[in-house]
Amino acid sequence: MAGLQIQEGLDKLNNMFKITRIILLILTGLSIKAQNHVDALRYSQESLWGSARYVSMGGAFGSLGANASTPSHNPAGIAINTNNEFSSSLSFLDIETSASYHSSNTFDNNSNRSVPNLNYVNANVFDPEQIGDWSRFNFGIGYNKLEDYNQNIYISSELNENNFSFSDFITTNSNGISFENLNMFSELLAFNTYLIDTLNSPNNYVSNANFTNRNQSFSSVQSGSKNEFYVSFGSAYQDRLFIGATIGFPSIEYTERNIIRESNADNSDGLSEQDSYEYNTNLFTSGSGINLKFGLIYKLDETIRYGFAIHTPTYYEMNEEYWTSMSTNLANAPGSFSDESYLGFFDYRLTTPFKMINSLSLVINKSAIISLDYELLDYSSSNFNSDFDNFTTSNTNIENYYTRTSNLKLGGELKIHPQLSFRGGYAYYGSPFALNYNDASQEYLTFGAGLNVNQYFFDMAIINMLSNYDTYIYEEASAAEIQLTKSQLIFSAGFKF
Amino acid sequence: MKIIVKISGLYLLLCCSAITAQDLQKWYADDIYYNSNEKQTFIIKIPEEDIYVNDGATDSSYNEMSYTSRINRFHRDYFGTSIGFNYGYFHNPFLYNGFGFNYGYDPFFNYGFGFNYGYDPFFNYGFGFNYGYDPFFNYGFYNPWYSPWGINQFAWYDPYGFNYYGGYGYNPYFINTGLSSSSASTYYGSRSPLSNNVSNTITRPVNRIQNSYRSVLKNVKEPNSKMNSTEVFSQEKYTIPKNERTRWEFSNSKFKNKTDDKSFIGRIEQILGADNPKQSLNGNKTSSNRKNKPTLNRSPQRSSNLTRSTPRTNGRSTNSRRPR
Repeated sequence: MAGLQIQEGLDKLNNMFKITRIILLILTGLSIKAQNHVDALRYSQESLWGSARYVSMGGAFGSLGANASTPSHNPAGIAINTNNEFSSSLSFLDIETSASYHSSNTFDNNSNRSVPNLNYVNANVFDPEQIGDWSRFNFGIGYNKLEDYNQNIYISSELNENNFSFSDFITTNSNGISFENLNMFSELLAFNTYLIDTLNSPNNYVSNANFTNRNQSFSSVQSGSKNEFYVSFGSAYQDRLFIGATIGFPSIEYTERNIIRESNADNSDGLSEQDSYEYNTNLFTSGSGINLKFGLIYKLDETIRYGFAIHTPTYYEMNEEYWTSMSTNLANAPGSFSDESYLGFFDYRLTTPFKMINSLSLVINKSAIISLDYELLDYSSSNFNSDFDNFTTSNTNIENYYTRTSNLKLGGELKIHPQLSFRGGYAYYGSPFALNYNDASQEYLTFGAGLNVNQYFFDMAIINMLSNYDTYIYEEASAAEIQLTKSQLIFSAGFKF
Repeated sequence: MKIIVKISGLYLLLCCSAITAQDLQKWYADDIYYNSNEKQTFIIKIPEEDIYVNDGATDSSYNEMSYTSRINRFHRDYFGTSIGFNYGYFHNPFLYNGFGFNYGYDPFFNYGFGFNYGYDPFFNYGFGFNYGYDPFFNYGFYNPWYSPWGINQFAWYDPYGFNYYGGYGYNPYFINTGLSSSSASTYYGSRSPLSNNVSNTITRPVNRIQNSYRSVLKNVKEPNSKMNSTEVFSQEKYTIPKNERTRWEFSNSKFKNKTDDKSFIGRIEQILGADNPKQSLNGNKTSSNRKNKPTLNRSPQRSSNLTRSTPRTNGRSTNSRRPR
């Protein structure tokens, strides 16, 4: 009996010891791995998306309202509606990416179609004599697209031996680490496929791809979007002050597949054991979140309107799955080696920045609008956390690399006929990067037209976006200058009832 | 771009041809330009309480309304138009329309958030509550059981039940050391990105002024290569091994579609076009590079210099070391 008790005690102790070892492994493993600030920026950024009327005026709708997109920007806009309204849009997007890398220029493009918004507004205007000055209670439900992640990138150039190659990157990361502790998603694959090998010492690695000149290419296919399902409420005071609130449920889906290839550019090079190799990374991220938005619009008089809105940070629950693979071709051996990682999973939480929007517009003689929106947000306030990691390094990088920035939106509309309007807009989304770490600011030029026929309305918008930024294929790689151009056509249609 | 210009031109032509003299100010005037007191707005009157009193079986307002609504539904000639929409309902004193949808206010039910009638678009048109999209319950916000692909992510929160933690902080010796009893084909842990995507020095030659439209358009360069990422992926050298293909397809199509089915947005995008282009797998699905792995024949140039300290006996290049 006593023996049994001792055995049970030993088993419990053994189990505790196992658990402790697992926890220690978790902690040590995570201290060197983490989501980085690139993910935080990707999921925090939003660009110019919405109904055709909203987009064609550069998104400067903060003080105007009565548009399908306003619940996701200034919820007070829903209180402007006096009719029920149903509307939706279709978007056709063409994305062109030019890259300059080591004096080589490459080009890639892709296209995408989507439904940027689907909205319903229920307007309830009551008799002020019966219920007082707060006589309007509107309600809206729908979804708006906030960001599109579709982009194909192709970067290619010839590198000489003085350039830091991907195999150099792998070798540098491996040195000093015994092979059993190599990162299973990158360096261990290189070891298993003989891209790197040990020399003289178990922890000393050399690259088997020491090409004198190498052709290097990077291909990336990214897709996905950020959409927000919302429920919005608004009320009006004496037809002068409008207030509103939105509960937003944004969801994110992002897929990225990359291939880095390097091959020997000089066939007479007899130094390398490798002929070529490629490294694939695959990532699928999905997440859902919640945020609140509050806003007001005040009509100072018949001409001047002021709008103000705040967006609370969005709290996302993110799930991601990722895996990598590598294949190599040896110069003096038939066939190739390939290996792939395990399927990686991870959950984490992301908090995106708080946003404040100030808006001013002029409605001139019931036939023209000039509108201006100024958004302020601080990307350095994004924050990662999870149950198993405090993301100290990543959050510090977010604070260091990103900064407060502002978005400026300017739009105008001219009614040349009671039923026909022409619109134009300009939007500048400031760079989220601090100092000159990178850029990624965006400029939009937009044009559009709108037609009303009885209770139906049809709008269209033409958008051209330009953005310049640098991308780094891996750490210590030279910057590839990316020039992103998006041409987009949005059609919206709806009816009031 | 040309197609965009053509479509735009067509749209403007349509606009011009569709313009007719209409009194838009009557009901549907733009709310941005006109206040509610400058246009005809439907004002909801709250009935006095005595209206609700049913003081006679033949003369109640309830019966009048019911009768009128029946006429509206079945005898109005504009019912059943191509859009099935009664745009005359504003003049109906009993607030019914051809949709069978209670516009906003009905003294016998509620104040018009539209959840009350069977014809309510919220119930019949998939807006929110009957097609499985419920932000509070089905969409998984802060729901640890939620998995976009339906994979066993519930196990992530059960460190001792499903052994996912066996893959945490990966160690190739895991199986040997007995730290895990799982198949160890999955790994739970954060990803380590290859790049910070920022300059190592803050003096990178970025000049934000150069980002203006004018200068960017001047700087468009001719590409040196006609290759692009689509072609690269189509000649992807790495063939997904047969035993892995199931997993890949599992992740990218089978369960993803199931997720899309659940989501309201996914449902719309299924109808009007997927937002995410479908991943294309390598066409040569039956071959496995691993199965044809050649014997290593090291090149003579380097073999004399190399001392292989660590044979890859523990590498996971062979299927036998990675039970699935």
